[in-house]
Amino acid sequence: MTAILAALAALLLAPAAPAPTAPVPGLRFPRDHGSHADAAVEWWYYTGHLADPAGRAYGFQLTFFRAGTLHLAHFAWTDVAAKTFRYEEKTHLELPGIASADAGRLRVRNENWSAEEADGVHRLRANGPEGALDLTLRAVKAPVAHGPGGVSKKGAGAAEYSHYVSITRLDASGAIARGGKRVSLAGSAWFDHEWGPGALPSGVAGWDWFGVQLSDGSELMLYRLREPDGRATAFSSGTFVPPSGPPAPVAWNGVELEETKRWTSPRTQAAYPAGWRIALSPLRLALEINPLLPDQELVTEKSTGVTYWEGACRVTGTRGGKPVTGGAYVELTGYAGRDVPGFTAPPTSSSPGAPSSR
Amino acid sequence: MAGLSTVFRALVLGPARRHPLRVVLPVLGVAVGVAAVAAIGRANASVTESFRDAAASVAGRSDFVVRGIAGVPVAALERFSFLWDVGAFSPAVTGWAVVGDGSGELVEVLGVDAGGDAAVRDVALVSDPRASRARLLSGDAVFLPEPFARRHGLAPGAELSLLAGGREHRLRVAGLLALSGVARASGGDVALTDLFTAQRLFGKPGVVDRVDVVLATGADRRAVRRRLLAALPPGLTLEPPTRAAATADRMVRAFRFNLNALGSLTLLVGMFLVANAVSISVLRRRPEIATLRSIGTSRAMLFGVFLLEGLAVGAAGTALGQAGGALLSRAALRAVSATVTGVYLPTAKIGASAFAGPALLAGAVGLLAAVGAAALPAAEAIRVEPAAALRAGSIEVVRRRSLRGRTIAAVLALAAGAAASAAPPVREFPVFGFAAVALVVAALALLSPALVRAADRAAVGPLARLFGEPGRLASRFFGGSLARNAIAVTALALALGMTLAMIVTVASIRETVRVWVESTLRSDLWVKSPAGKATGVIGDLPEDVVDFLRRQPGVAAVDPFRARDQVDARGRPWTLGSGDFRVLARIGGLPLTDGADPRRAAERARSLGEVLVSEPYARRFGIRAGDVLSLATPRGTRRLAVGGVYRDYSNDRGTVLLDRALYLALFDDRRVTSVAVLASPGADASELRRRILAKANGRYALSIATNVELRRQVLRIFDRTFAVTHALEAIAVLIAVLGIANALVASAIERRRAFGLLRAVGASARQIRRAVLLEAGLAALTATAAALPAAAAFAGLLLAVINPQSFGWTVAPAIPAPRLIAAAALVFAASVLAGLYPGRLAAGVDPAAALAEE
Repeated sequence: MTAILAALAALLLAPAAPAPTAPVPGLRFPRDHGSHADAAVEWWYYTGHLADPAGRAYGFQLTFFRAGTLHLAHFAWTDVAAKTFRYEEKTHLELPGIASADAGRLRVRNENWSAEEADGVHRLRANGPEGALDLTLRAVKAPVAHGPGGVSKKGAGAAEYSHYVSITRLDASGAIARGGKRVSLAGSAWFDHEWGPGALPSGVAGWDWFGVQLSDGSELMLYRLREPDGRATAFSSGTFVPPSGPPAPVAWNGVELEETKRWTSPRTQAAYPAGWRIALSPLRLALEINPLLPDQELVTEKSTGVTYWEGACRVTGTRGGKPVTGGAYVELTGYAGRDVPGFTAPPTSSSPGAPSSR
Repeated sequence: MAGLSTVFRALVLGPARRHPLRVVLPVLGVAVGVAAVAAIGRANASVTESFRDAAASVAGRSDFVVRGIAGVPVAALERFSFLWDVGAFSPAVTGWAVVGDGSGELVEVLGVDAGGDAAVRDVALVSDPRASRARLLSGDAVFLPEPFARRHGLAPGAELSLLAGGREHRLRVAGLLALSGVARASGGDVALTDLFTAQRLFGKPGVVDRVDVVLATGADRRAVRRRLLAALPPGLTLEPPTRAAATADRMVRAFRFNLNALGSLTLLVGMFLVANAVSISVLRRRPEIATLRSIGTSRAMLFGVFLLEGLAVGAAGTALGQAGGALLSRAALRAVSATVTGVYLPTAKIGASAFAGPALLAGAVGLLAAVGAAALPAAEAIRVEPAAALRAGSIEVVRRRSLRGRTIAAVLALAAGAAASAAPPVREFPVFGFAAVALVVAALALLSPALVRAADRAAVGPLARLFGEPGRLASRFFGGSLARNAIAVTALALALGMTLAMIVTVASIRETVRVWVESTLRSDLWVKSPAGKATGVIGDLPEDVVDFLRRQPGVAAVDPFRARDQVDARGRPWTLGSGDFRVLARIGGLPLTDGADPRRAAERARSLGEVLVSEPYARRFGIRAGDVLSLATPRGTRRLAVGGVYRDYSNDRGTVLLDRALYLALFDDRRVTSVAVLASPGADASELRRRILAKANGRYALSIATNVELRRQVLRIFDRTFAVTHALEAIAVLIAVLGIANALVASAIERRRAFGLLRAVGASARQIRRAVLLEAGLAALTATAAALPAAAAFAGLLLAVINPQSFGWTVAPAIPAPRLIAAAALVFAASVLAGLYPGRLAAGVDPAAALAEE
């Protein structure tokens, strides 16, 4: 009885389903959730915070990369209570039944991992050392295109851009099963889809990316492209998505980003930032972001070859003077020395080089 | 009572020490036989092992392999996606290319989905993995095993030129591999590329050659197999990963089987030599045996002593033979792998396998053969009665009485042989054919004492008339040593008979092939993809080559030929072929077994959608003209009528030939294996080739042979194939001639007293030497007389039973008289020469000393 009431309440309180066509110039959905064959590099990125019925917290990352005809995938699982972080990776050529990304709709597969979308509902399947994950994600907000005209500039060069679309909040439900044991899960997820020529400006040493979901229904996407000395390049930027109404671009000159902690990986000796204070004065936003687990580092020898940190974080702070809490996923690249991601050694032929993680 | 060792010393060791030559010859006989068997055993084992290694290195951890009659279309992989829940699968493109650096070496190209292939195959990079990764993604990347790269002077970043699919391709060396896992395939001559790169190389987009399936631990193998079978589209098959090795093995097994049979022949001849030696020993020791028997030595012990003599000879011969076999095996391996690559599998890489196994086996066979050969004379020894043996000549009495029994047994053996020759093959092996050969050998052995006696009786008059006293003596010697001469004559007759039979067989096949080549090779030029150092066809050509050739001035017509190796559900290899039946209908060139007009048959087959099958196919699969064949195609199983059976000596697997139009409609495979070009009247073939090659330069990489070159090549390959045969025959004859020498040496030693007496009564040393030489000649003549009918029987069995059952070919008999006469004369001369030493031995007897011995 209580369950039925809860479900009804959830239905009544849920915001209206997002319009199928987002107000993004030149982009149409679901078509543009699908693969763009003309883009050398493309990825579909899901992250989220989940909890089982007992309230135990988990984080997940499921990413499908495409670099030309090469398809890669990463699946990471954070078990906060157990303090474990496990991941699995796959690499395949684009071949039927093995790895593919459909055009015209979101249907990406790599072996038996997949992400599919129909009518605003995404279905994710993946498995790793922690079990087989099966999630249904319902978009709470409409897709957001970052950057002016849906083009996210990464540098001054003509090819230094990408198309970058996010769905900043999706309700997640599903389960993870392992050896006959099945754990129900519910929570909130974030979806990124980016495609383009894949060129990263030379002189960029890496980046820090933040996807923040706040308890007041707003979200913030922010990335800092770092020069070798750690300073942000002019093309660092972000987008703020209010609880309702149109998203607003974030200009980097209004951003204060401070690292509060460091964590050194025992595997790679890479020293990553492990805590941040972020202030966006124009938005009257002040946040503290801290990892739920220090070690959420991926060493992807079998796929991208890139070593990066991508992890679930907790968020506290204020917006417009009112206290907010929330969850975030943070991605840190370029800290593991030689493992600078991106396309630093562009190959000579038409196929693209090693894909970056973002 | 004397112990075994005492008796052995008295009867065997003592005489052996006094006359070492008598021991040396049979030891040599066994040694040569064991060496031949061991060498062939090793060559054969190397072939099998190389096939297994090659298949295993490519198959990796594979549990099943999916293949297709025209490759596996990539689209079909969608049906296998359920496998990700129970394991993994990985598609691969495989093919052969010629290294374009002038070395002419072949390299196996393996195109894989690098990221997923680790589930099936192991690869160990020795160069910097990071640099390799970046290069791997460039689309023209190739990874090479370190030794291969070193041999070709290639380092990471260097360019590798490959001739494949009728074109030249330039790839970039992305990294080097350790010689492990898949890099061990083809003896380390492997080029690992991206799957799409390999597809481009071989001009087959959208198709892979194999899909390897690996099951996760705990997966239900049978359930997965069932589900896979249900998911397979038409034209695809599921096979065990060892199938490729088994198929390759099966292709060459008739060849290997025959090689083994010939190797056994040398050992058989060696056996006669051992029997001969022990028999001489028994005859010579007759008085001692009688004495020993009378003082109470048991029959069992005497039997044991002579068996031991056989064993001792066998052991010494085996040890020597194994050492010789190690040397001989290199030559044998070279010859065998030349045949395997020249005739059956041009891409096979045969590495030497361990010698220990075949050497041990040949040793065991050699020992057994020696002991077995000693058993007969040993059995004769224990029949010696103490009293009777002390009288001279009694054994010969025993022998004469048994002649009738022997003759009856020989007739029975011949009848059984005739019956066996009519029996069908057992699992494609001419088992009964070889049994018939063995029965003829037995009959020959049984009849030889009678033959020797008959020869002696027939020869006594002419010999005396022609050579006087030495002639009379020779005849008396020859007939007087019935037992040992019979065995020596049998051995020589057997070796000579086999040699003559093989000469007839090889000449018949060669002549048949020559006539066939003349009637089938009617085109002026043959165009194929470059094959480098290999003989035969490596890879195929793009379809547009056909048009390119057709457009060249001086070209009257082109006939695109397609051949794809297949394996039926029972693992039997066959070839699916197609040609332009319109061209065939115009120029003929496909002689039919029933003598019908090939032009009309081709036209009929074209209009009615019939197939033509080669004679080996018809024989192997039990198909006749008018039957209906079920052919698995990507469009489902098709039932096609057989319009005719044509003669084909190019391939003993068997070919089903379709008109190109029908083939294209059924198999979606537009590439061609080779193109036959008919020149316009008056056009010069060499000149036309030059023009075509000049035009193709930069666009296609082609290899073009003229009619004359191709014919010459066919016969060259043929002759190389039979080189091993001839070597083995020579060995058998050599052993047999040793046998004659051995018998005569024994006679000379045994008859010391007689020679002494003869010299005492006035015979000259020259006369005695001549008598021994004449005896040798008489033995050789008798053997030749026995060899002729035996050769006829052997040749008949080889041509009419063993050959058709092994290879499926009909061969018209040809009798190369000059070569036969030369071979017989050579053997005769060698045998007479073999009498030289015993003759000298006999002539050198000092009369006084010989008489004083008594």
